[in-house]
Amino acid sequence: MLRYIVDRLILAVFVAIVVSIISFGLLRLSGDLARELAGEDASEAQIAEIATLYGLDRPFVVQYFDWIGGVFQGDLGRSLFTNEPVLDMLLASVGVTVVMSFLALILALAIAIPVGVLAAVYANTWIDRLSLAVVVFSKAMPNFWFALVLIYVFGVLLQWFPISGAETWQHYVMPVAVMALSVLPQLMRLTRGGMLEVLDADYIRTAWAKGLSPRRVFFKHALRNAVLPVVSVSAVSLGFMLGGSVIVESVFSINGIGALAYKSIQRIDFPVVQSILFFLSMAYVVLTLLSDLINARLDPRIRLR
Amino acid sequence: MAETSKTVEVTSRRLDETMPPSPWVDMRRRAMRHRGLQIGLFFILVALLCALFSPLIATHDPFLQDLNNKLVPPFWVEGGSTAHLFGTDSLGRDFFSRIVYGAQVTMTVGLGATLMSSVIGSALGVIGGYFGGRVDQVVMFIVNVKLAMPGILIALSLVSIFGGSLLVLTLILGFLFWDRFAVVVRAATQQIRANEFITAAEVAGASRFWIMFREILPNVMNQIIVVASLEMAIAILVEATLSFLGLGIQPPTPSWGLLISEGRTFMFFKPYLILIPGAAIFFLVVGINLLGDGLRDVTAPEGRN
Repeated sequence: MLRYIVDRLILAVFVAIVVSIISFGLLRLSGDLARELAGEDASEAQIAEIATLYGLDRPFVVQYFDWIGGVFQGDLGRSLFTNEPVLDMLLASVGVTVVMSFLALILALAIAIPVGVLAAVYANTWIDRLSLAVVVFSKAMPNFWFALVLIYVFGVLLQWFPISGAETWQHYVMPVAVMALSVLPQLMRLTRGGMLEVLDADYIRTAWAKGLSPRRVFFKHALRNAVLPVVSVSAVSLGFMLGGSVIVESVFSINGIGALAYKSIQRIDFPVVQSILFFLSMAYVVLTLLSDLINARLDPRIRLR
Repeated sequence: MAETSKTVEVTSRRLDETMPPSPWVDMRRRAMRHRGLQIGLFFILVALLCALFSPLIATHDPFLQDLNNKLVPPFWVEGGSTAHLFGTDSLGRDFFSRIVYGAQVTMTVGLGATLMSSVIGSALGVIGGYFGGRVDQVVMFIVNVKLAMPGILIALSLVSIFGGSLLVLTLILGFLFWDRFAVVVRAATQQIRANEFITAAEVAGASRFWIMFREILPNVMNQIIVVASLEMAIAILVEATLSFLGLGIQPPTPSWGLLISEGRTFMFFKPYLILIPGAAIFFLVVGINLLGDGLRDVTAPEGRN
């Protein structure tokens, strides 16, 4: 177990290092960030001034270590446009995104696990086909379009829910539904596939042969093993939703981290952009690390490998 | 002489009847019976025809503005006429023609990006799977880094730097979605590598390059094609999303995502402006997914559950 944890930790650290370099370098790929910031009509003198002001005239490596050194001390720099500390901006916007993503994950699991299990238990019946239809539907639905259709139907025609902002719980209903739909098909297929595989296993046949009730066989023996892969993919889904929140947040005008990233990308606010990219990637790294550890805890085959 | 040739003919027919069908014939038979595959192929063909023959199919110039005829509803709504099948947009441009031309963007980006990512991903997968050990670790490390980065935000950042041309967008998306190719091809390569014909090629003195690309690659082609269809669906959805967010294809080029973003201002009283392009994306992506699932069933029937 210890060996496994150490291996996974080392991998996570290396991924984090590379991810931090990419996050930092991405907006600098154009070659001359100062020129981009200055705009098209700027003179060479103005460009040089901007480069000096933001320290862009220093070598890349120096700039990177300056930034990453700050990150370790909780200093992510300041926004070029509002002059606020980037850390404060991040903390102010991350909460709503995290809450929405968690709610969406819970909603998606609450649908995916029961439907996926039923689809496997009643394989090749109408229940199975219905679950397949749900998967095909939600995989092909463009997120942003689904959000607009929800706004039109439930916000404008029926007037059940408010269409923008995040003040009351009603504001969360539609954005959370959209986010949940984006991860639903994967979780549902995984539950169904895992359950089918487990139901085929010898120990399930033994359980039947012992004369256990269907409820005990399905829930006690089968489901516990079938949801193992679902646990690890849930963590991945959460990371995916954090990174993809830009769509939902821009349609529903919610000031989360995705909206902040989008706004900052548009005005090339590089201190904010690089910190958000790094933060979201790190969230993903930590989540997958956690899920691997949970899986190893639950499944001796992994930790003893 | 005539007698003999007749006998030969008869025997060969008998041989045909008693021999089991070749894998190819068998595959074709399964394809003929597979409803999902045929529906999927139909949707894709429609989109492909629209893209290839846009000038012939479109009824109007998709860029021609007619301010006297703006926001005309589609022909099935009251006030619409068959002069503009899908009505007109806020600048009086024929909406049907814009949808037809939009297929060009969608199919170009979808096919181009998928081709590029399949090359990158398959190459990494074959190399990692064939060499194993350190090389494999490096490949998996690259995949891990790729997975940790928030794809949509990376794409948005790159478009903001390099502009939203068709070429740039295709390259960016091609560079973002190769991970599943790498994972699938790597796993398949590891299995194939253990086969005797690989050992035979090694003994015969074939170069590693020859073995990887002439012995292994043809054998994983089925899996690559299945993954490609699923990735193409994702590439199309992401292109639409980026164009919708304003950091994709730039106006006045008609892209389905961009049409939805343009129609958004008017969606409350002209819902068809977002419903029609959204439905176009939805049905194309459903078609691609059905085709992908169908191909998997047809090429590897033993692998389905």
